[in-house]
Amino acid sequence: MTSEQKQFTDSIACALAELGATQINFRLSNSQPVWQFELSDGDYVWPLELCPAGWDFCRLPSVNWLTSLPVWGWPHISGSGDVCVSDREGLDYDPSDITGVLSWLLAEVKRLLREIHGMSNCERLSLFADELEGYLKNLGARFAQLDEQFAANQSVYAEVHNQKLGLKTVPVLRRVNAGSTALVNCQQVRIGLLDVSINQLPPLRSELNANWWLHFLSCLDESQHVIATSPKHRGLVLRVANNYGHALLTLYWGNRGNKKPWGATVYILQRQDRDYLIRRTGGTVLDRHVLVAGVGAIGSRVAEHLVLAGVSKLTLVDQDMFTADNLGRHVLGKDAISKKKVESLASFLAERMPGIDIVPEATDIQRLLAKGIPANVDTIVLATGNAPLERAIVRQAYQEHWSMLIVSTSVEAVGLGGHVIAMRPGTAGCLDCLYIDPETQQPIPSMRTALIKPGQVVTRQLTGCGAFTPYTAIDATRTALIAAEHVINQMLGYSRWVGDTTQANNANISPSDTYWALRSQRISTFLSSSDFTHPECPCCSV
Amino acid sequence: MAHAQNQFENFHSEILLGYDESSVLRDRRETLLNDLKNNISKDAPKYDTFNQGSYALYTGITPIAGDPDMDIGVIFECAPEDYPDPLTLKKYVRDALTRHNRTVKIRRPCVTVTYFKDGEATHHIDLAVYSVNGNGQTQLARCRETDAKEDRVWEPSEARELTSKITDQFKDNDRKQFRRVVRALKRWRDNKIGHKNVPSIGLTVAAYHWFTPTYDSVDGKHIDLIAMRNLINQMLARWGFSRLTVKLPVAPDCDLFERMTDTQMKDFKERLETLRNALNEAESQPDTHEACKILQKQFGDDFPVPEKASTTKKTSSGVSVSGRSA
Ligand SMILES: [Zn+2]
Repeated sequence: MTSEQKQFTDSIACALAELGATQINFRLSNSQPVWQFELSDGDYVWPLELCPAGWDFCRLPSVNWLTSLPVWGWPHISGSGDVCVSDREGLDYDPSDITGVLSWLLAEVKRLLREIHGMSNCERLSLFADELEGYLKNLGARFAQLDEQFAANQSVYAEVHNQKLGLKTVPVLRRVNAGSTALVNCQQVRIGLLDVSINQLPPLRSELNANWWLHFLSCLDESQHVIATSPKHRGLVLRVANNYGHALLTLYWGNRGNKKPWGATVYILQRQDRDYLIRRTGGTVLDRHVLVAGVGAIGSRVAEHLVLAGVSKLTLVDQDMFTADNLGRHVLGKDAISKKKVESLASFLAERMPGIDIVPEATDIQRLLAKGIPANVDTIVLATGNAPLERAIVRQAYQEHWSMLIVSTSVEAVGLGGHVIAMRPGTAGCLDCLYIDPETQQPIPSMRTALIKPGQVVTRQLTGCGAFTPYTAIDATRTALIAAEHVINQMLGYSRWVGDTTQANNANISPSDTYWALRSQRISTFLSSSDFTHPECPCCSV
Repeated sequence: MAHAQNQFENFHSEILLGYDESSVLRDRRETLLNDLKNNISKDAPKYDTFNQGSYALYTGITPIAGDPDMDIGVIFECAPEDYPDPLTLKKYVRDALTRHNRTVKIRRPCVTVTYFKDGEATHHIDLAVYSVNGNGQTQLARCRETDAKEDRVWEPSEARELTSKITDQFKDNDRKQFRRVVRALKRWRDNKIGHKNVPSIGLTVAAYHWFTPTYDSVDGKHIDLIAMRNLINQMLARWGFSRLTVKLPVAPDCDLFERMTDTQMKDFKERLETLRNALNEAESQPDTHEACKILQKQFGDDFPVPEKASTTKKTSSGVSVSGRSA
């Protein structure tokens, strides 16, 4: 042991004694320090084991309950007896405060053990059912994908890959589906779907044997028995009811022939359905249909974040092909080169969020709108980079009283900032309002809140053909995030951001008065619709 | 709603008189300082000169009639104790500068050089004479030849500190707006009250205390009309016992309007109220043309009134390079 390690073990031994532990016994297990001790708590004496993760408390040490193993049916206690005092996320403490951390940890362990001990069998199992998947994970059970939700009485299939291990082939369950195969090199086999209660489950391990099976069958009622023993099934999805709906696991036994004794592997079904994934972010699925016109650097990022935020349907409109020039700031990669941007983006986003409905329209936005707005579109994002076109669409929307939120977004050159203008026909405050000089009431050729002083050349060339506007992927993404927020919260108004002038200085580009006013926080980066309404706007004031 | 910002800015360029912009001012100063250098008595201590007053503050305007005046500071490298009679130093300056075509007179606060053309005084240059005491504080020589010896005194006067305080009060575009508003206010004073009755430095320091930069909340561009209206309201709100006190923010910490009579004060206040009302009325005009007619009555003929046609006729706005993309 090094002197630091010695100091560490000394302070733990000291702290344990101080905290009332008895029978303290130190040993090294796989070169890791482990203490066994007893802790009394009123009528109970708990035999415990403290296992620091290494030689410090940077990670919270685990505490095991030394009871007869494996433990089954105790909430917050793993099969190996590890008492889970918290989910260990978001904890903060001073790792050098050995006594303080141990004191908290042991108090939590005592509280938990006492609390669980005081429960009825039924209460305990009910809480345990909520954690069943976590319990199996700790036991080392494998995972299989599940990216659909089961409908009632549906046939269920497993996609099984025969993995070669030396001379043997081992079947590995990859994905469970409702009939739609998705994976290559997999065999699709029928499995059963069985609803059971936690009381009907004998203690699970990651591999199960014939004894377990017999015990399980004896706990089932007649109709359950029929499903479990159907000769059509090569496995069984067990849906164990709990307070969150149910825990999902699969027993896969495959094709064993008659000779071999029954045996199965337990898989945890890793849910990937949209509802589950969105709920994991703390959000909810948004029953929205957003049309994104222009899927360049900004539009593609807006679409990406709308998908992750739970928007249920996207229509992507852009007639351009993806080219290598786009790689520098687009969400798509080399695979998309020479393909329609909307089509590649639709496949990319479908991968990002299973179950999303994405319609790619490789056409011009005006041509699409001329045919009629797609059904149920509630938000239109304009990220075309073409201000006159977007103003024309907004004017049409106001004239024809469209009901949707319209979000026009653009990024300024050389990192100076970006704009998001969110408007709704019927509410004053529109894109055209920003193209009138408030002093003269005259139309002006460029947006009056532009961040670059008018009259400067900002586009550049690298190869002699193909001018481009210099701005970075970060600039586009920042702008896109603001636009996505407006869409998700259905928030009207004008948001802008400003960056610094490093790039602009290098390129000899002068920022506008508006830039400086924003940069020095003299004016607000957010304006409500009425703040920027021009009272005589030809578009929104009528 | 008219702010006539373009007209305020054009008005400002019209009345602006900056030392940097005016070669006439620079030449005059150069000539005078050369004379001082070449002719000053061998007995005089070394000295340094600096711009003070409106040129140093960038608040100079062209006078309505005649030539502009100028202020120069002359700091001698000596302490007040070295020259218990400050008149000695002022005499050095006077004697070095006396020429035909100008008269040089020692007045209490400064040495004044008056220029003549065809027998008429056209403009003058004031030279303030300073020494520096042990604490590094500049001391102004306050004395005339007619003063009794005990009235010839050194008085703390931090002209350079005042200049940096006022120029550092605002930055960048805020500072530009501050200077525009001060210059416009000075021209209004020349036009309505007369150059002598309300001292320029009083207006400038009032703005130093109470001016707030004012912007359009959407595009961040200045609105001088509102900025000036707000400043005037701040001044009117402080009109205590029938007088407005504007304290110099450096030594000698005096009230810059203390020499104004009560009658002048009353007149000043009434005219400021009229100006404030005119600014409000101009703002409420739907048409810039009408607004500017109201403003021109206050600021004089240099305030431009655009053609009515230009504010109503549709003009082609053309194509601009926005640099925006998606
Ligand atoms: Zn509008």
